[in-house]
Amino acid sequence: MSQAQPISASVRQQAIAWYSLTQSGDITAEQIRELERWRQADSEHELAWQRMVGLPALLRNNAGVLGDPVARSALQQARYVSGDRRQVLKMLMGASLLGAIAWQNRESQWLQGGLADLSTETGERRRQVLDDGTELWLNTATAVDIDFNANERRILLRYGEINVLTGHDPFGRPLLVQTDDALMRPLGTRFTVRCGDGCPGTLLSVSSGRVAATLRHGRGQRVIDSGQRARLDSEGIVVSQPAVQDDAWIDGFVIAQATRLDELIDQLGRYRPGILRCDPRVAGLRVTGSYPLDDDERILALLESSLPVSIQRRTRYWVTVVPRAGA
Amino acid sequence: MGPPSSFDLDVERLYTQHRSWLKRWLMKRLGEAADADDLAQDTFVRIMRARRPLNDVQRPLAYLATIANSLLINRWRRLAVERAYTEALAAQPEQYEISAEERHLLIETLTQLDELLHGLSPRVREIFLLSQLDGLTYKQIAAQLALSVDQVQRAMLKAFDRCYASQFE
Repeated sequence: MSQAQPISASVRQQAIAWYSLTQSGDITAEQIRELERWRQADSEHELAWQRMVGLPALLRNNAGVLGDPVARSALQQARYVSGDRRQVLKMLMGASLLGAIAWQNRESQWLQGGLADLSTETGERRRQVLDDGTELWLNTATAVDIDFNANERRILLRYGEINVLTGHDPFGRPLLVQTDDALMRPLGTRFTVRCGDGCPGTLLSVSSGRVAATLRHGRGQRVIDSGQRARLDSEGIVVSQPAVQDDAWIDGFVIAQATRLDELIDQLGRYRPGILRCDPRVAGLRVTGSYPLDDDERILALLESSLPVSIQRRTRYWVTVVPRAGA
Repeated sequence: MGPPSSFDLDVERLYTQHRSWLKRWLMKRLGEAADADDLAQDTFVRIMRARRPLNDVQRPLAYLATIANSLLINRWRRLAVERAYTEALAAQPEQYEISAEERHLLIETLTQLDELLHGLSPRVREIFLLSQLDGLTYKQIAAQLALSVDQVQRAMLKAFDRCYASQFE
């Protein structure tokens, strides 16, 4: 539902802050006058304001429906949750079924994960609001250290993938995200960073605002704009337009758009323990679709029914996608 | 009704040329012919409503797939809403009477609202509804949920931001 006239991120934020203030029940007469001045100062301000005023209409028009406590509770609770599956995995791990499987690369991650400030297990996703209001989403198998001091707010991504929605720091300290490869400084923004879980270098993908990235080894600095994705490593910074939504996992999806099968399988493999492989003979098949992460068995079944492949299971934790016999 | 516009003709051409491709594409993802038919139909309805000039669509199949994909996501969203609704219903002490049709409409509406609140946690949703539906002040919400006013403010900012994104991006 994109509208013709773009509104800059900063004006949007101001409009939201003003609108929220009017809804707080605590606005002063002086603030109301200030709001009037703000609206008149610029036509973009006024347009952003008008959009805000219209926003809750959809909700209020349906006030009748939400008068029903069951409907209201359903709306509050509706989410793609991963909790159940995680419980099952925990139980299985307790039974040490995983002992026989090669997990070398994960072992050091477990150790790191145990030491990190925030971490998730394979298949888990988690949201955390930091002290400054910054919203941090951790994707599967991720470990993060949070280091806020008097001069800066630093998020150290040890491995995995995070999505950051920057909060406004009352002390004006800059927010920095650090990986082995690069230091990234958002300029009012939402973005995703991934590193160290099988992907070479660091992947940065900006969904709104901009992020200034500086390489830690070798030279290179560049501002990555909204809608762009960049690979950062010792070779340099390579920018491309993302073909898929890199933050769909927040909603519990992986989205493929003419994606190579081996890339999709790599993606899915991040969300389940054990080994998920793709035979090179079918690696180049293209897939498109949105796949719910919390039901990876279903995804495999779908692939099997829509592509000339079959799913070969040596054990529950060792699965290979191979060409279908006779196909 | 006047003569068909060039846009109508473009949609018609897109429909004749690619409808069966789209159906197959959806079939693969849904595994069900009837649903694929519905979603293919919905995809074209959405294209007609969007009225984006089709002559500057470079790759029609990619365009179709993108729109069909968002419908698929919507479908998953609806499933999540339905599940939440069934759970909420089960938690009710008394039997609850609602006709299949009423239920369908209700789920439809809730799915739309869910899209508006895309990605917000149950806690933020609760805060948002207390403010925007019940008209509580931030202080009252903070008191009711044993939070600081600051936390309520942050949740509201985030909720407004998400509503804005779902409507204008």
